[in-house]
Amino acid sequence: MPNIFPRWTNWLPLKVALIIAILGFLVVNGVTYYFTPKYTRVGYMPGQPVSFDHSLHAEQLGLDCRYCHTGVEKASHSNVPTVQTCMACHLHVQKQSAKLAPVRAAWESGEPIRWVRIHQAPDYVYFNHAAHVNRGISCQSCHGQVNHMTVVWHHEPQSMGWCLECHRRPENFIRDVNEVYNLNYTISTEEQRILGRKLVEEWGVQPPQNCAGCHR
Amino acid sequence: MKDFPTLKIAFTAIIAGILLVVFIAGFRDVAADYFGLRFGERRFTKPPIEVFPDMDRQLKVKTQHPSAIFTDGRADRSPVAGTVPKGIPVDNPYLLTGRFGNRWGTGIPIEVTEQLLARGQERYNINCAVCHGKAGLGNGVAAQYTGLAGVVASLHQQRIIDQPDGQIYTTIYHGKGQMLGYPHISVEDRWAIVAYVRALQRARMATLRDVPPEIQQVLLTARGPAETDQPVNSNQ
Ligand code: HEC
Ligand code: HEC
Ligand code: HEC
Ligand code: HEC
Ligand code: HEC
Ligand code: HEC
Repeated sequence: MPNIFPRWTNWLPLKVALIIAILGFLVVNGVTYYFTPKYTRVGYMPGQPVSFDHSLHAEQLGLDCRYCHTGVEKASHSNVPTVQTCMACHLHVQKQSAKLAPVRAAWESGEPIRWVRIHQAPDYVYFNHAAHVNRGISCQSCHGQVNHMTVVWHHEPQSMGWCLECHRRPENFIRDVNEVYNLNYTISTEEQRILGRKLVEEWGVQPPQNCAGCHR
Repeated sequence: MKDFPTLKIAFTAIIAGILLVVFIAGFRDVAADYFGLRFGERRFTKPPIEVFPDMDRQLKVKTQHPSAIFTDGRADRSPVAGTVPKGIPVDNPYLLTGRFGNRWGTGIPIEVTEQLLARGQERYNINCAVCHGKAGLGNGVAAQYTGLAGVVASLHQQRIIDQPDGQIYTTIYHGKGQMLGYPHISVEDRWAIVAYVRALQRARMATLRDVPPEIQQVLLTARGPAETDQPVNSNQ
């Protein structure tokens, strides 16, 4: 009986299987990286209507985040400041600066400055700033060291998996409530473990892990 | 089919190259998560793509978002003239305005506790210290810059010490002269700040008699015998 398949096809099934396996691995890895917020969001740094610099205002002048983001510890939403907040200083400081011209124009016309929003959870997600910052979760854990950024960029993926990483182990991130607005705070992993366990137990911290906690 | 081997080698090389690139790319996540390696960290200005955009952006009114419903594009509406926001103490005008009729009132209309002072200190350090300084001397960080230098008031001037509490409350609420107001600070917090400003002023004028006896002793040894009626802090 003649050979229907030539000799070289002996290894073909194995080769095909191998290639499919490799491709499958790559596609899964590629999709979970490139099609998720780790890639699509992190690094988003839109141009803003005013070149506002957090490293100057928050670090050099030592302004507390709450001077401008006034609602962060009271409300679910962390507001971007009103023009009046800027004008408290800029009525006097850098009065002629061209960089501040849009701020002065907004002050005169009453039109808000249209800051470009960077962090934005989908509308089907319930998120609450006050619930986090009043429980010892710092801005740094979710926004990175904004106080060293000249232009704010998206530092963390803020995906569902990322939220849950902390909700499952809040002791890795929680800190004293007085240190929440101190973005230069550092602590060794060892000390964090001890402090974190203690705080989680003392305050009875129980971040929701059920779907209805965040999708309400 | 003489050049078959060359073709085959070229073909294999191309496939291998593509696979290698995708392979490394596929490992970015693994590299970042397990080995802390970050290559090609990027910054971009285009809005992030939403891979599954279903219901991500809904047509509801959201905080600090424009809305197409009103012609001025604002979702937050200004209150109707003559109305009062919920929670504003209209039945206690002094608490709200710091005045009795058209006179300033004095006295803190909420209970002054250690907690209230601590709250006042925190709020003062957030909102006022950049200009007025942590001790109220008018020498905060922002007050060092041209424009504010020499303009910011020291809160230890006799003129301000003599002001009724209601007037300081109003300065915080509506501002005064070169200072803009802080209407977003809540009524209780404004009074807490007034109480703390009073504490700062008092502390600066404090005499040895004002401190508890055990601390008097410490201060006396540190500074040597002194007249008990002189302000402890009399470096000006
Ligand atoms: C002087 C006022 C001011 C202070 C102080 C300040 N911010 Fe901001 N912040 C702004 C303004 C204005 C914007 C919007 C423009 C921009 O994104 O740069 C902003 C934007 C942001 C954003 C991005 C918002 C978005 O669109 O997603 C984050 C996060 C943020 N601030 C965090 C902080 C943190 C953390 C601190 C404290 C270290 C802080 N800010 C202190 C004024 C301030
Ligand atoms: C506590 C006072 C204070 C507040 C509040 C404040 N700034 Fe500033 N700002 C400063 C100081 C001080 C400088 C630095 C001036 C200098 O370097 O001479 C500055 C510099 C700037 C500059 C650079 C100006 C230039 O020409 O170099 C911009 C832009 C600016 N601020 C925007 C803002 C905006 C927008 C806000 C409101 C969200 C704001 N600032 C709120 C104090 C303030
Ligand atoms: C637990 C994580 C977490 C913490 C802690 C946190 N944020 Fe956020 N922040 C978010 C998320 C998520 C969003 C997007 C929220 C949304 O779309 O409703 C956001 C949005 C913002 C925005 C943009 C709001 C807008 O309308 O442009 C600002 C400003 C901000 N945060 C400031 C802060 C500051 C300041 C702190 C610290 C005091 C802080 N955040 C702490 C997760 C956090
Ligand atoms: C760094 C840690 C951390 C991250 C990141 C984080 N959370 Fe939380 N979350 C907490 C802690 C701690 C609590 C408070 C639990 C408590 O009070 O018992 C909490 C509470 C909550 C609550 C309950 C609030 C309430 O009002 O009861 C919601 C909802 C929530 N988180 C949503 C989110 C979402 C959505 C994200 C991602 C965008 C997120 N969290 C990211 C730590 C975190
Ligand atoms: C800690 C808060 C939290 C909990 C708990 C949570 N989610 Fe989510 N979920 C999120 C966030 C945040 C997003 C948006 C992710 C993004 O923008 O990338 C999301 C997105 C989703 C999406 C849409 C994904 C997409 O890309 O379209 C689905 C579906 C979902 N969640 C289902 C669930 C289910 C089912 C559960 C319960 C097992 C659950 N979630 C529990 C925070 C949470
Ligand atoms: C942006 C800088 C700035 C900040 C922040 C600021 N002030 Fe002032 N303050 C001033 C200046 C400038 C004056 C001088 C006003 C004048 O004489 O025209 C002043 C004056 C005052 C006065 C004296 C008013 C009078 O009767 O002459 C008081 C009281 C006062 N501030 C309290 C506060 C308190 C309390 C806060 C915090 C809620 C605060 N200030 C925050 C700049 C500031």
